[in-house]
Amino acid sequence: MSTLSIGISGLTAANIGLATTSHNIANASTAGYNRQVLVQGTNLPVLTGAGFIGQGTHVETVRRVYDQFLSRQVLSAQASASAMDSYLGQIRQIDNLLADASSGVSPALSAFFAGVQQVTAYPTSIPARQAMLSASESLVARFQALDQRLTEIRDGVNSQVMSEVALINSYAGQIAELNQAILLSRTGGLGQEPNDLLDQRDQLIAELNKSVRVSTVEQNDGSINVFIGSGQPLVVGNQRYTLKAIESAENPQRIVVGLETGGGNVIEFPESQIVGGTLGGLVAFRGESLDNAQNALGRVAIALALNVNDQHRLGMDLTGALGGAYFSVAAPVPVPNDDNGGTASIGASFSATAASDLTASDYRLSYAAGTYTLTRLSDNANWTAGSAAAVATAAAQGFDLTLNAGVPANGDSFLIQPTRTGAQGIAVAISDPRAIAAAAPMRTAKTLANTGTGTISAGNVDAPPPPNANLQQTVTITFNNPPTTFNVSGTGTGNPVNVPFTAGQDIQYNGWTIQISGAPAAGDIFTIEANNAGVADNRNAILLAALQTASTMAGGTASYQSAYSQIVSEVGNKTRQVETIGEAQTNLVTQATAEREQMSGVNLDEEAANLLRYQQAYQASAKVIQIAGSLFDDLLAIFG
Amino acid sequence: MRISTNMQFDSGVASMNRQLSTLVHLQQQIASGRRILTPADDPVAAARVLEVQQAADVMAQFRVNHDNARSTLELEETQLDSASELLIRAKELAITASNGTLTFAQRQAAATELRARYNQLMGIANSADGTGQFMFAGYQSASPPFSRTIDDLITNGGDVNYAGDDGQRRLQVSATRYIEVADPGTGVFMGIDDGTGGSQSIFKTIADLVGAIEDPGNTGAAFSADVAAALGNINRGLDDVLRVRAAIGSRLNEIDSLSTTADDMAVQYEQALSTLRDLDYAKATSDLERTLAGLEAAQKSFAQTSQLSLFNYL
Repeated sequence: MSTLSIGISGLTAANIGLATTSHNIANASTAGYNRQVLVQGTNLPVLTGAGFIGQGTHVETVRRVYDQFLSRQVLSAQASASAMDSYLGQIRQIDNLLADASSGVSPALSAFFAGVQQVTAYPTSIPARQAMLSASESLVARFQALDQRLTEIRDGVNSQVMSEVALINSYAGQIAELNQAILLSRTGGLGQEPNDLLDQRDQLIAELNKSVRVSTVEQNDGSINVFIGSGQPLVVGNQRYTLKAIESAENPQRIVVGLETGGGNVIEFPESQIVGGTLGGLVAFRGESLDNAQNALGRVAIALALNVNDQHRLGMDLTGALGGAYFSVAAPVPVPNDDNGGTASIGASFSATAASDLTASDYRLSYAAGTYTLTRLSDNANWTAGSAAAVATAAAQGFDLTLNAGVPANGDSFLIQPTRTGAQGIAVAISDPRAIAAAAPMRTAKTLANTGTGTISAGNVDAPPPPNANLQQTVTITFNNPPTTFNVSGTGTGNPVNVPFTAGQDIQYNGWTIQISGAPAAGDIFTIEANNAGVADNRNAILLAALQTASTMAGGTASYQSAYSQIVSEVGNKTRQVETIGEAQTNLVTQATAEREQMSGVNLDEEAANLLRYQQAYQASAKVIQIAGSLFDDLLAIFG
Repeated sequence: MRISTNMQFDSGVASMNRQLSTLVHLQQQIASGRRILTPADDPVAAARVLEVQQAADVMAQFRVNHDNARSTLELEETQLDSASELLIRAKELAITASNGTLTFAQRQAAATELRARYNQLMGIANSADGTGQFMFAGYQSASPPFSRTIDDLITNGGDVNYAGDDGQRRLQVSATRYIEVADPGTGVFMGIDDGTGGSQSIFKTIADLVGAIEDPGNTGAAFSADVAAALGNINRGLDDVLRVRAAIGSRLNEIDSLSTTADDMAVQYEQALSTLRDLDYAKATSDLERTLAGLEAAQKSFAQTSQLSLFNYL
């Protein structure tokens, strides 16, 4: 009888082998599938006088070919690769935005200054002035268009953060359910591993890990606990925690990740802890590249507007009025933290030296125990003082602060983004071409009857605006005998006498600076007067035009163009860097996956061979049963 | 080594993808003629392109300023050329009138022509450029700078009125050089040293001469002295005009040489830009060939190896 049962045991095992092989073939391209193999063992032999007689075979288990170490390696590489992928996808948009030189700020900047130069050539020409205004409008539109695009990218990041959070929650839920299912299967499965469920859970963890880097800890009961960040639990056994996309308390325009802690409370997740995965890439891109690009662009717009305005206000327009603001700029607005307990409202404005002092960083003003601390978020440099105004003055970062009203409470903070809205907020403040202040408000003259060779320079109006109230008062400079000194007379000068004269040296009164060169004779008279009807004067336009190449930004080290070029090179460099790191990480993933696949992947040739193997085993076992059957028949025939 | 069937497919596809992306990049470069498609291709060069482009734009603007300055100065030069011819004629007339053999009636012909010349000179001093701006008015170019008729000067004495100022418009013609493109009327027609320590305008000089010629009582030595004084003033006035013309000439020369420099620089900037951003076609096409060959080989080998399967023989 044993031959028959041995044959049956072989038949059964071969059948299971065929099923397992078929399962492998069917799942050859199933994501996360680990091939399964049969673990076969011999049945207990029977002791007879002739020794132990084998009793056939049985299948001990169907094992999945799986190495935890190799899988972890894939996970780790994958989280970095996904982060770089999503970073690259975002920064490529800025890279492409800046790719076409003809659609960037550069040509519009050149065109604006070309417009100014045309006004220097034809200061009385309304068409030339109109052309300058139009070029200004184009420049402003270019700033706004670039900024608009960056804002769209920011909105895109915000909504992607929301969808990633939703994805993470969905994965976390499924993993918790699988933990539960695996627990039940193991309990009911007499210690056998539910291979396909384990594969499914591993695959879900791998997918989750593409969204945000996770760490996992396997429990004795077979469930896996999943953590993110610095150990915040996401899944514990069959329990899952929920993430929530929320507005940051510090900056409501920033969607950040919060962790629900029960009772409807949500704790904001520090961005520094969201590392790896698509979400980590998004957060890193926003914090490093997007903020910086938008701020730096805003800084160029603000510096240009403030410089042009300062110069323009020292000039005189075609109607004889003093120049006003040429551009309008958006003043920074400190945003109080949502969690502030005090009533303080802080106001901000650009300082007189903002064009040079502004950086591309954001700032945090915080208050504690009577002390205000201003922190530059790019490098955490900080300044402290007893008042908001004093701390801004001490920091000299291009903006002034005031406590408008109320009282701060300990721990209150305000976010200051001085340059964030610069590119969006710039606008041309004048629309009448005659209002362009191409002339200087004062002019100089040498009296015809002068007998000396002294000449007077055209004169400059002293910065900063507003110009001196007596700028346009008539002032006469009369040389004494001997002409080594002169007397000054005119409202606002204090009428000094016997002022020592040095040829070519600056003479400054009433907010103007002139030089008298050559050798004036005794009795020679020079006058400084209002530039009435001086429509052909282009002195102020020349000074405006000179701003194009002047290094007025970044502490006097950069022109507008070089500051803009810096954005282009920074974005280009970062894109390239992310590309390179991304490629390296992707290669790591490929390698790690290959190693895992070498072990766990399905090879169809191998399975084909296995099919043959089990088919033949099946056929052989069937033959054994047939022979056992015919043996029985032979026996019956004897007695028949 | 065990190879899973998935890996066999994935690695084949990945290799083809990689080559295809190189191919597309090369194709874009060739189609656009640009080496740098986005700043990431060469961040340093991309930023440098912008800087060089601005320098080229600024230079081109200076070149426009040169043309503006040249046309303004040439217009002024034309007017001053007429003025100097006119003053030379006035000198001839003064010399004719001073001929002692002429009767009072005979010398009136010179007075008549001098009057016409006075008005002509007034026209020159009050001339406007192509945009209706008065050239010799300083900053106050909206209204004619010189006034008073010759009769007014002869009858009531005094000098012409100048309603302009000393303003002198300049244009930027290089990074550091601003060049004067106008001369105020005071420097051209006024402030002539009258030989006695005072100064007067060229108009008063002519008016005085005409007054002397037309005065029947002014004869003999006194008349000769008046004409001699007028001649001296006309000569000094002519010197002033010639001095301004010479200054204009040297400015025009300077502008010409700056323009030549600017044109040379423009070529250099163009070359610099080309080096920075333009594609080396020879290299790009050879790269393209190589990548194409690589991709074709990858496709062919993938097609062949992917057909290998034990199942084909079962």
